[in-house]
Order: sequence, then C-alpha cells, then structure tokens
Amino acid sequence: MMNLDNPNIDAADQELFDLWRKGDPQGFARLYDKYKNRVFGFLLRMTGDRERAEDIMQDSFIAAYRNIDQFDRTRSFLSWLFGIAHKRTIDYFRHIKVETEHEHDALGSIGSRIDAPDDALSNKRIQSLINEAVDALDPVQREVFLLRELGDVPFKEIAEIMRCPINTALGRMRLALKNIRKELEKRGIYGVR
Amino acid sequence: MECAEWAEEGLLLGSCELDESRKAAYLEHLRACAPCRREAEEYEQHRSRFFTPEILGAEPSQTTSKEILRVCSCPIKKVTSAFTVFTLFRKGAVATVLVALGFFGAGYFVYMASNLPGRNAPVVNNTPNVPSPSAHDAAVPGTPPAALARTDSISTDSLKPAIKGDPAGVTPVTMEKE
Repeated sequence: MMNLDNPNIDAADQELFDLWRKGDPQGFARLYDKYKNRVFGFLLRMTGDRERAEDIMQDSFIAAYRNIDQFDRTRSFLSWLFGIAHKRTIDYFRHIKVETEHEHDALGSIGSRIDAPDDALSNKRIQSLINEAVDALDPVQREVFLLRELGDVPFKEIAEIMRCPINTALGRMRLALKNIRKELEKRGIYGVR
Repeated sequence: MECAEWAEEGLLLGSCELDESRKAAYLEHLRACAPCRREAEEYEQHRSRFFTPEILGAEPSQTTSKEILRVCSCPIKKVTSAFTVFTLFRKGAVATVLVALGFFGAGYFVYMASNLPGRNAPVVNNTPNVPSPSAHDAAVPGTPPAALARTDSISTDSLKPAIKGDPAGVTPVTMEKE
C-alpha cells in the first residue's frame, strides 16, 4: 500500500508505526519482522562481522525506540531506520578507529566471515555470488547500493544521510552497479536474459 | 549505460524521484536509444531477481531479536512538561499537608502536655477536715484530728482557679506546727 503523495511511503508501515507509538507491542513486532532481515543484511555487509552487526542492530532499534518522536512522517519508516543504522555504523567505525586501508583489507575476508542466510532459497549459489560481488565493492559504493536496494531509501535521502550531493550518490550507485556487473560477468552469471 | 546523461535519470526513475516531465523525456530517450533501453531492462531484471531482501538480507540471531523485541515493545514512557508540573504540584501538595499535620499535631501535643491536670497546680490536700500525715504525726497524742483541720486543710472552692488555669489564684498550703 503506497502513499499517493509520496510513493516511497508505505501507509501500512505508518499504521504499524502509530500502533507502536501508542504502546501496542504488536505494532513494533510486525515492523521488526518485516524489516529485520534488510537492516541486518545492511549492517552485516557494512561491518563484515556478525557479532558486531547484531550489536549495532540492537543499538539502532533501541535508538529508534528512544527517538520515536523525531520520526518525520514525510519519510518512509524504513528509510528512517536505515538512516539510524547508517549513523550507528559510522559510530562503530569511528569507535574502532579503522582507517580506510584497514577497511579495504578487511573487505577481502568479509565473504568468509559472513554466514549465508538461513532462508531456504531456490538458488544458493546465485545468492552467494551476488553477496560476494556486493562485498567486493568499495565501502561508499556498497553503502549507497545497500541503502537503495535493501532500504529502499530514495537518492535524495541517501545524499542527506551520507552528507554528499545527490549527484555523488547517483555516481556511486552507477559505479556500484558497474562493478557488480563486472563481478557477475567474472562468475558467469551476468547474462540473465 | 551508454549515454551517461541518462543513466542517472534511470536510477531516479527506479526510486520514483522523477517528476512527470523528466520521466516522459527519459522514456522518450529509451525508445530511441537501444543500448540505454537494454541496460535499463537489465537493471530492472537484476533488481527483481538478485537485489532482493531475500538475497541481500540476512537473518539476525534469535537472541538478538528477542532482546530487541523485549526492549522496544515496552510502552513508551513520555515525560511531558504538563505531567512534570502536575507531579510536582501533587508532591508539593502532599508534602504541605504532611507538614501542616505535623505542626498541628505537635502544637496539640504541646498544648495538652502543658494543660495536664496537676502539672502546674499546687500540691493540695483537697480532703476537708482530714489532717495531713505530717500534721497528724505532729499532733499531740489524744488530740482529736478535727482540731488540726482548720490549719492544714483547704477548701475545695479554692481549687477552682487552678482548675481554670490560673495557678496564681491558689494559696499554697502552709503547715503550721502547733
């Protein structure tokens, strides 16, 4: 169910959010079930560590709970949640003082540290290849890509979240898609048509 | 995308961020440009097949989910200014009542203590015509007690001022030896 004024806003989410705000635990439980895998997937790929990702996920949801009154109803709930998760991830990287070079070093081994999701997928191979291609992206490209594809965050909001011009966000997304395409070509699954 | 100037428009179309005029212009370009059309179709295919929450997402552990649900499902406790003022007012009112009760209680206790019967009253023998033991001891054996009553006894009428709270109105008993 989409909002006619803003197609990125899901009216069902807004209703669940209102229930949560009024103190109905079902409101939050349903929102959480709906989006937990997306948020966790984003955090897992940004940190490369399952345990850290779970810690940041807890922090993110608790931060959302504490700042529930600051939710801007002109944005989508998921977009707001991804914004919080992004900030928490940045805090995490600041906290551990990982420099860009170290992040790049870590990226090479992310694939081996990320467990495959437990969901029963029809093609686990494709899933792992896509994940490898995403994990091989530059961190800023990967972040834009995941915010857009997992979080459904519009580019205008991605630019706000990442504090960059919208053209920069679009450029990073283009590069991310180009690099994913290259990775998929290497692995022989690009020609999907 | 072959035409760089249109590549970003394609991305914005996917996120519903193109207004009608730009959307129409982009679609018009796609009709005329085969490479751009092919890439746009590929991107849409990838989005629907690969870039899905099922593939890109990941399941958090049960422990984490339980903890998040436990914390975030609690009713939100809002502290508004009106609530604070009301609470302060209520607490202040209760405290004032308690202090006032304390003052009144203490005052009443002091008042009652200061007005206990016999606290400031003189020691009197209010039994008429009965000699006091000392006077009786001092009496000459064989002398009738009635003879002493005139000197060491006091009439009950003389206690009335003391009972009314005027100890000055009572004349202390004087003991005289005969």
